[in-house]
Amino acid sequence: MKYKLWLFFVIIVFAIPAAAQDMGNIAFIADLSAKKEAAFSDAVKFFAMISGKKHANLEQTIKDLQHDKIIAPADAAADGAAPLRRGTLAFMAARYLRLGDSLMYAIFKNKRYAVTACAAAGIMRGDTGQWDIITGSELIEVMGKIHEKTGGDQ
Amino acid sequence: MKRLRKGLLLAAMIVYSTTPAFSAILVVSTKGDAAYKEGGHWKPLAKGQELKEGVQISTGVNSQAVLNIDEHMLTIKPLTMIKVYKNSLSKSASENNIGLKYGSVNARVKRIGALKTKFNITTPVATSSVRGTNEDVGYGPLSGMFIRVNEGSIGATDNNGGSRIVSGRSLYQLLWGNVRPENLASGLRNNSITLFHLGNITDEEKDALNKYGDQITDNFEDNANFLDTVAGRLTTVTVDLQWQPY
Repeated sequence: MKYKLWLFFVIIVFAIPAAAQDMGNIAFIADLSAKKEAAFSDAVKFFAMISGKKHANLEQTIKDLQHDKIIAPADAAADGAAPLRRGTLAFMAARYLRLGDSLMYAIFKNKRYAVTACAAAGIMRGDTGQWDIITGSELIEVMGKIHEKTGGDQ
Repeated sequence: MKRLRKGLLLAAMIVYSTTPAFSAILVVSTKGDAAYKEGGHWKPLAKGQELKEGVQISTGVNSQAVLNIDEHMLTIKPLTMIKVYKNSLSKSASENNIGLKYGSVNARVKRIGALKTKFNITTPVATSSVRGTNEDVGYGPLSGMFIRVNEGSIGATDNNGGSRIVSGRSLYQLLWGNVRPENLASGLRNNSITLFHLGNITDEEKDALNKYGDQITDNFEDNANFLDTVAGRLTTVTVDLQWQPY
Protein backbone atom coordinates (compact mmCIF):
# COMPACT_ATOMS: atom_id res chain seq x y z
CA MET A 1 0.00 0.00 0.00
CA LYS A 2 2.86 2.33 0.95
CA TYR A 3 4.63 1.67 -2.37
CA LYS A 4 1.44 2.35 -4.32
CA LEU A 5 1.14 5.71 -2.57
CA TRP A 6 4.76 6.54 -3.39
CA LEU A 7 4.24 5.54 -7.02
CA PHE A 8 1.13 7.71 -7.20
CA PHE A 9 3.06 10.62 -5.66
CA VAL A 10 5.95 10.25 -8.16
CA ILE A 11 3.52 10.14 -11.12
CA ILE A 12 1.74 13.26 -9.86
CA VAL A 13 5.02 15.15 -9.30
CA PHE A 14 6.14 14.42 -12.87
CA ALA A 15 2.74 14.94 -14.44
CA ILE A 16 1.84 18.33 -12.90
CA PRO A 17 4.39 20.47 -14.80
CA ALA A 18 3.50 18.75 -18.07
CA ALA A 19 -0.23 19.17 -17.56
CA ALA A 20 0.18 22.83 -16.62
CA GLN A 21 1.59 23.68 -20.04
CA ASP A 22 -0.55 25.48 -22.58
CA MET A 23 -0.44 23.56 -25.83
CA GLY A 24 -2.81 26.09 -27.41
CA ASN A 25 -0.06 28.72 -27.42
CA ILE A 26 2.47 26.29 -28.87
CA ALA A 27 0.07 25.27 -31.64
CA PHE A 28 -0.70 28.95 -32.33
CA ILE A 29 3.02 29.80 -32.75
CA ALA A 30 3.70 26.69 -34.84
CA ASP A 31 0.77 27.43 -37.15
CA LEU A 32 1.80 31.08 -37.37
CA SER A 33 5.28 30.12 -38.57
CA ALA A 34 3.75 28.63 -41.71
CA LYS A 35 1.61 31.69 -42.54
CA LYS A 36 2.69 33.79 -45.51
CA GLU A 37 0.71 36.70 -44.13
CA ALA A 38 0.24 37.28 -40.42
CA ALA A 39 -3.07 38.85 -39.39
CA PHE A 40 -3.66 41.79 -37.04
CA SER A 41 -5.33 39.33 -34.63
CA ASP A 42 -2.09 37.28 -34.52
CA ALA A 43 -0.16 40.30 -33.27
CA VAL A 44 -2.89 41.05 -30.72
CA LYS A 45 -2.77 37.48 -29.40
CA PHE A 46 1.03 37.50 -29.30
CA PHE A 47 1.17 40.77 -27.36
CA ALA A 48 -1.38 39.36 -24.93
CA MET A 49 0.85 36.31 -24.48
CA ILE A 50 4.07 38.20 -23.81
CA SER A 51 2.39 40.65 -21.49
CA GLY A 52 0.81 37.79 -19.54
CA LYS A 53 -2.78 38.73 -20.38
CA LYS A 54 -5.53 36.19 -20.92
CA HIS A 55 -6.74 35.97 -24.49
CA ALA A 56 -10.35 34.98 -24.17
CA ASN A 57 -11.59 36.79 -27.25
CA LEU A 58 -10.14 39.26 -29.70
CA GLU A 59 -12.45 42.15 -28.81
CA GLN A 60 -11.62 42.00 -25.10
CA THR A 61 -7.88 41.61 -25.72
CA ILE A 62 -7.89 44.62 -28.05
CA LYS A 63 -9.66 46.62 -25.31
CA ASP A 64 -7.06 45.50 -22.75
CA LEU A 65 -4.15 46.37 -25.01
CA GLN A 66 -5.74 49.69 -25.92
CA HIS A 67 -6.09 50.41 -22.22
CA ASP A 68 -2.35 49.75 -21.87
CA LYS A 69 -1.79 52.09 -24.85
CA ILE A 70 -0.21 49.32 -26.92
CA ILE A 71 -2.88 49.52 -29.60
CA ALA A 72 -3.62 52.90 -31.16
CA PRO A 73 -7.28 54.04 -31.01
CA ALA A 74 -7.41 54.00 -34.82
CA ASP A 75 -6.38 50.32 -34.87
CA ALA A 76 -8.84 49.26 -32.19
CA ALA A 77 -11.62 48.99 -34.75
CA ALA A 78 -9.43 47.18 -37.30
CA ASP A 79 -10.48 43.88 -38.78
CA GLY A 80 -8.73 41.07 -36.94
CA ALA A 81 -8.26 39.10 -40.15
CA ALA A 82 -6.62 42.04 -41.96
CA PRO A 83 -3.00 41.44 -42.99
CA LEU A 84 -0.53 42.75 -40.44
CA ARG A 85 1.46 45.72 -41.72
CA ARG A 86 4.98 46.45 -40.51
CA GLY A 87 3.93 49.93 -39.37
CA THR A 88 1.13 48.55 -37.18
CA LEU A 89 3.46 46.00 -35.57
CA ALA A 90 6.22 48.59 -35.11
CA PHE A 91 3.77 50.97 -33.48
CA MET A 92 2.62 48.30 -31.03
CA ALA A 93 6.23 47.27 -30.33
CA ALA A 94 7.39 50.85 -29.81
CA ARG A 95 4.56 51.48 -27.36
CA TYR A 96 5.08 48.17 -25.55
CA LEU A 97 8.80 48.83 -25.13
CA ARG A 98 8.29 52.56 -24.60
CA LEU A 99 10.90 53.31 -27.23
CA GLY A 100 12.24 56.80 -27.39
CA ASP A 101 15.44 56.13 -29.34
CA SER A 102 14.27 57.87 -32.48
CA LEU A 103 13.85 61.62 -32.25
CA MET A 104 11.27 61.68 -35.06
CA TYR A 105 9.21 58.97 -33.37
CA ALA A 106 9.46 60.81 -30.07
CA ILE A 107 8.00 63.90 -31.76
CA PHE A 108 5.44 62.49 -34.17
CA LYS A 109 4.62 59.06 -32.67
CA ASN A 110 3.29 57.69 -35.95
CA LYS A 111 3.72 54.31 -37.64
CA ARG A 112 6.33 55.51 -40.11
CA TYR A 113 8.69 56.68 -37.40
CA ALA A 114 7.80 53.71 -35.19
CA VAL A 115 9.46 51.52 -37.87
CA THR A 116 12.58 53.72 -37.62
CA ALA A 117 12.51 53.52 -33.81
CA CYS A 118 12.20 49.72 -33.96
CA ALA A 119 15.10 49.53 -36.43
CA ALA A 120 17.21 51.69 -34.11
CA ALA A 121 16.35 49.34 -31.25
CA GLY A 122 17.40 46.32 -33.35
CA ILE A 123 13.92 44.82 -33.50
CA MET A 124 13.34 45.30 -37.22
CA ARG A 125 15.42 45.96 -40.27
CA GLY A 126 15.75 49.57 -41.27
CA ASP A 127 15.44 48.97 -45.02
CA THR A 128 11.74 48.14 -44.90
CA GLY A 129 8.54 50.14 -45.25
CA GLN A 130 5.57 50.60 -42.96
CA TRP A 131 3.14 49.12 -45.51
CA ASP A 132 4.95 45.80 -45.96
CA ILE A 133 2.93 42.79 -44.92
CA ILE A 134 4.56 40.76 -42.17
CA THR A 135 4.85 36.98 -42.53
CA GLY A 136 4.11 34.65 -39.63
CA SER A 137 7.76 33.78 -39.02
CA GLU A 138 8.74 37.48 -39.16
CA LEU A 139 6.16 38.21 -36.48
CA ILE A 140 7.62 35.41 -34.33
CA GLU A 141 11.12 36.84 -34.74
CA VAL A 142 10.05 40.38 -33.85
CA MET A 143 8.12 39.12 -30.81
CA GLY A 144 11.16 37.06 -29.79
CA LYS A 145 13.31 40.19 -29.85
CA ILE A 146 10.75 42.15 -27.86
CA HIS A 147 10.58 39.26 -25.40
CA GLU A 148 14.38 39.29 -25.08
CA LYS A 149 14.45 43.04 -24.51
CA THR A 150 11.96 42.77 -21.70
CA GLY A 151 14.11 40.14 -19.98
CA GLY A 152 11.95 37.19 -20.97
CA ASP A 153 14.97 35.23 -22.19
CA GLN A 154 16.48 34.90 -18.73
CA MET B 1 15.82 -7.93 1.55
CA LYS B 2 15.73 -4.29 2.62
CA ARG B 3 19.41 -3.86 1.72
CA LEU B 4 18.82 -5.42 -1.67
CA ARG B 5 15.94 -3.06 -2.30
CA LYS B 6 18.03 -0.07 -1.26
CA GLY B 7 20.87 -1.25 -3.49
CA LEU B 8 18.55 -1.66 -6.46
CA LEU B 9 17.06 1.76 -5.86
CA LEU B 10 20.51 3.33 -5.65
CA ALA B 11 21.60 1.57 -8.84
CA ALA B 12 18.47 2.75 -10.61
CA MET B 13 19.10 6.32 -9.46
CA ILE B 14 22.70 6.20 -10.69
CA VAL B 15 21.63 4.82 -14.06
CA TYR B 16 18.92 7.47 -14.31
CA SER B 17 21.22 10.36 -13.44
CA THR B 18 24.18 9.38 -15.63
CA THR B 19 24.27 10.03 -19.34
CA PRO B 20 23.06 7.38 -21.74
CA ALA B 21 25.61 5.07 -23.32
CA PHE B 22 23.48 4.61 -26.43
CA SER B 23 22.03 7.09 -28.87
CA ALA B 24 19.39 8.99 -26.96
CA ILE B 25 17.60 12.28 -26.66
CA LEU B 26 16.67 12.89 -23.05
CA VAL B 27 14.71 15.85 -21.68
CA VAL B 28 16.81 17.26 -18.83
CA SER B 29 14.48 20.09 -17.85
CA THR B 30 11.61 22.22 -19.09
CA LYS B 31 10.28 25.64 -18.21
CA GLY B 32 6.96 27.14 -19.28
CA ASP B 33 5.44 25.80 -22.49
CA ALA B 34 7.70 23.24 -24.15
CA ALA B 35 6.22 20.65 -26.45
CA TYR B 36 7.02 17.94 -28.97
CA LYS B 37 4.97 16.93 -31.96
CA GLU B 38 3.52 13.46 -32.13
CA GLY B 39 0.81 12.28 -34.48
CA GLY B 40 0.17 15.81 -35.70
CA HIS B 41 -0.49 17.09 -32.17
CA TRP B 42 1.64 19.08 -29.75
CA LYS B 43 2.21 17.31 -26.47
CA PRO B 44 3.93 18.70 -23.36
CA LEU B 45 7.52 17.69 -22.76
CA ALA B 46 8.33 16.28 -19.35
CA LYS B 47 11.59 16.02 -17.47
CA GLY B 48 13.20 12.61 -17.93
CA GLN B 49 11.28 11.88 -21.10
CA GLU B 50 13.10 10.11 -23.92
CA LEU B 51 12.58 11.29 -27.48
CA LYS B 52 13.31 9.73 -30.83
CA GLU B 53 15.18 10.89 -33.91
CA GLY B 54 12.91 13.03 -36.08
CA VAL B 55 11.23 14.70 -33.12
CA GLN B 56 10.06 18.28 -33.52
CA ILE B 57 10.21 20.53 -30.45
CA SER B 58 8.70 23.95 -29.90
CA THR B 59 8.88 26.41 -27.01
CA GLY B 60 6.59 29.29 -26.13
CA VAL B 61 6.98 32.65 -24.43
CA ASN B 62 9.08 32.55 -21.19
CA SER B 63 9.85 28.92 -21.89
CA GLN B 64 12.78 26.69 -22.56
CA ALA B 65 13.78 23.04 -22.75
CA VAL B 66 17.14 21.44 -22.11
CA LEU B 67 17.95 18.23 -23.96
CA ASN B 68 20.77 15.78 -23.44
CA ILE B 69 21.62 14.45 -26.88
CA ASP B 70 24.30 11.78 -26.53
CA GLU B 71 25.97 13.75 -23.71
CA HIS B 72 25.75 17.04 -25.61
CA MET B 73 23.50 19.63 -24.01
CA LEU B 74 21.11 21.60 -26.16
CA THR B 75 19.14 24.46 -24.60
CA ILE B 76 16.13 25.44 -26.67
CA LYS B 77 15.37 29.07 -25.92
CA PRO B 78 11.93 30.80 -25.93
CA LEU B 79 9.94 31.02 -29.17
CA THR B 80 12.02 28.39 -30.94
CA MET B 81 11.25 25.41 -33.12
CA ILE B 82 13.75 22.64 -33.84
CA LYS B 83 13.77 19.20 -35.37
CA VAL B 84 16.30 16.48 -34.57
CA TYR B 85 17.05 15.18 -38.04
CA LYS B 86 19.77 12.77 -37.03
CA ASN B 87 20.78 11.15 -33.75
CA SER B 88 23.19 8.27 -34.03
CA LEU B 89 25.92 6.96 -31.78
CA SER B 90 28.26 4.09 -32.54
CA LYS B 91 31.53 2.89 -30.99
CA SER B 92 33.50 5.17 -33.28
CA ALA B 93 31.25 8.13 -34.01
CA SER B 94 28.52 10.37 -32.67
CA GLU B 95 26.46 12.19 -35.26
CA ASN B 96 23.66 14.64 -34.62
CA ASN B 97 21.92 17.08 -36.90
CA ILE B 98 19.52 19.67 -35.55
CA GLY B 99 17.31 21.72 -37.85
CA LEU B 100 16.55 25.19 -36.46
CA LYS B 101 13.41 26.56 -38.07
CA TYR B 102 13.25 29.75 -36.00
CA GLY B 103 14.43 31.06 -32.65
CA SER B 104 17.72 30.27 -30.93
CA VAL B 105 19.54 27.48 -29.15
CA ASN B 106 22.68 27.05 -27.08
CA ALA B 107 24.74 23.95 -27.79
CA ARG B 108 27.43 22.63 -25.47
CA VAL B 109 29.11 19.90 -27.44
CA LYS B 110 31.45 17.54 -25.61
CA ARG B 111 34.54 15.99 -27.06
CA ILE B 112 34.06 12.37 -26.05
CA GLY B 113 37.43 10.63 -26.03
CA ALA B 114 38.50 9.51 -29.48
CA LEU B 115 34.90 9.41 -30.69
CA LYS B 116 34.41 11.20 -34.00
CA THR B 117 31.83 13.81 -33.08
CA LYS B 118 29.62 15.63 -35.53
CA PHE B 119 27.03 18.05 -34.20
CA ASN B 120 25.45 20.16 -36.90
CA ILE B 121 22.87 22.89 -36.49
CA THR B 122 21.21 23.68 -39.78
CA THR B 123 19.06 26.71 -40.61
CA PRO B 124 17.49 27.61 -43.97
CA VAL B 125 20.63 29.61 -44.85
CA ALA B 126 23.66 27.82 -43.36
CA THR B 127 24.99 24.97 -41.23
CA SER B 128 27.15 25.20 -38.14
CA SER B 129 29.31 22.17 -37.37
CA VAL B 130 30.55 21.96 -33.86
CA ARG B 131 33.11 19.86 -32.02
CA GLY B 132 34.01 20.33 -28.40
CA THR B 133 32.60 23.80 -28.02
CA ASN B 134 29.87 26.05 -26.73
CA GLU B 135 27.87 28.20 -29.10
CA ASP B 136 24.64 30.13 -29.48
CA VAL B 137 22.87 29.76 -32.79
CA GLY B 138 19.82 31.71 -33.88
CA TYR B 139 17.75 32.11 -36.98
CA GLY B 140 14.96 34.40 -38.09
CA PRO B 141 13.77 35.58 -41.51
CA LEU B 142 14.62 39.21 -40.71
CA SER B 143 18.06 38.89 -39.19
CA GLY B 144 19.13 35.63 -40.84
CA MET B 145 21.42 33.24 -39.02
CA PHE B 146 23.85 34.13 -36.29
CA ILE B 147 26.43 31.99 -34.51
CA ARG B 148 28.09 33.29 -31.37
CA VAL B 149 31.00 31.10 -30.31
CA ASN B 150 31.42 31.19 -26.55
CA GLU B 151 34.14 28.56 -26.38
CA GLY B 152 36.17 26.56 -28.92
CA SER B 153 35.65 26.93 -32.63
CA ILE B 154 33.04 25.99 -35.21
CA GLY B 155 32.80 25.70 -38.95
CA ALA B 156 29.98 27.56 -40.68
CA THR B 157 28.97 26.55 -44.18
CA ASP B 158 26.41 28.58 -46.11
CA ASN B 159 24.09 27.21 -48.76
CA ASN B 160 26.37 28.53 -51.50
CA GLY B 161 29.23 26.35 -50.31
CA GLY B 162 31.21 29.12 -48.61
CA SER B 163 32.68 28.11 -45.29
CA ARG B 164 34.31 29.89 -42.39
CA ILE B 165 35.89 28.90 -39.14
CA VAL B 166 34.51 30.96 -36.30
CA SER B 167 36.24 31.04 -32.94
CA GLY B 168 37.00 33.32 -30.02
CA ARG B 169 34.12 35.63 -29.39
CA SER B 170 33.44 36.27 -33.06
CA LEU B 171 29.95 36.54 -34.41
CA TYR B 172 29.01 34.87 -37.67
CA GLN B 173 25.98 36.44 -39.26
CA LEU B 174 24.43 35.57 -42.58
CA LEU B 175 21.49 37.78 -43.44
CA TRP B 176 18.55 36.34 -45.30
CA GLY B 177 19.00 36.88 -49.05
CA ASN B 178 22.72 37.66 -48.75
CA VAL B 179 25.21 35.42 -50.52
CA ARG B 180 28.08 36.09 -48.14
CA PRO B 181 28.07 36.32 -44.38
CA GLU B 182 28.77 39.60 -42.64
CA ASN B 183 32.30 40.45 -41.60
CA LEU B 184 33.30 38.36 -38.57
CA ALA B 185 34.35 41.57 -36.87
CA SER B 186 31.01 43.26 -37.52
CA GLY B 187 29.88 42.72 -33.95
CA LEU B 188 33.10 44.16 -32.64
CA ARG B 189 32.96 46.99 -35.15
CA ASN B 190 29.40 47.91 -34.35
CA ASN B 191 30.17 47.90 -30.67
CA SER B 192 33.36 49.86 -31.00
CA ILE B 193 32.22 53.26 -32.16
CA THR B 194 33.84 55.49 -29.63
CA LEU B 195 32.65 58.84 -28.46
CA PHE B 196 35.52 61.18 -27.71
CA HIS B 197 35.15 63.87 -25.12
CA LEU B 198 37.55 66.40 -26.55
CA GLY B 199 38.38 68.04 -23.28
CA ASN B 200 39.38 64.75 -21.76
CA ILE B 201 41.83 63.13 -24.19
CA THR B 202 45.60 63.11 -24.42
CA ASP B 203 47.62 64.82 -27.16
CA GLU B 204 48.38 61.43 -28.76
CA GLU B 205 44.67 60.64 -28.84
CA LYS B 206 43.99 64.04 -30.42
CA ASP B 207 46.55 63.27 -33.13
CA ALA B 208 45.01 59.84 -33.76
CA LEU B 209 41.54 61.39 -33.88
CA ASN B 210 42.70 63.94 -36.47
CA LYS B 211 44.40 61.22 -38.51
CA TYR B 212 41.86 58.38 -38.42
CA GLY B 213 38.58 59.85 -37.27
CA ASP B 214 36.47 58.36 -34.50
CA GLN B 215 35.63 55.04 -36.14
CA ILE B 216 39.06 53.51 -36.47
CA THR B 217 37.79 49.92 -36.46
CA ASP B 218 35.69 50.56 -39.58
CA ASN B 219 38.92 50.34 -41.58
CA PHE B 220 38.96 46.54 -41.33
CA GLU B 221 37.88 44.98 -44.60
CA ASP B 222 37.86 41.40 -43.41
CA ASN B 223 38.97 39.29 -40.52
CA ALA B 224 42.41 38.63 -42.01
CA ASN B 225 43.18 42.35 -41.89
CA PHE B 226 43.47 42.13 -38.15
CA LEU B 227 46.80 40.46 -38.81
CA ASP B 228 49.51 42.50 -40.45
CA THR B 229 51.63 40.73 -43.05
CA VAL B 230 55.33 41.46 -43.17
CA ALA B 231 57.34 39.73 -45.90
CA GLY B 232 54.69 37.11 -46.33
CA ARG B 233 54.67 36.17 -42.66
CA LEU B 234 52.02 36.83 -40.09
CA THR B 235 53.05 39.30 -37.45
CA THR B 236 52.14 38.34 -33.94
CA VAL B 237 51.57 40.77 -31.14
CA THR B 238 52.42 39.61 -27.66
CA VAL B 239 50.72 41.25 -24.74
CA ASP B 240 52.32 40.76 -21.34
CA LEU B 241 50.04 41.29 -18.43
CA GLN B 242 51.78 41.98 -15.15
CA TRP B 243 50.04 42.10 -11.85
CA GLN B 244 51.74 44.32 -9.31
CA PRO B 245 51.81 42.85 -5.80
CA TYR B 246 50.19 45.02 -3.15
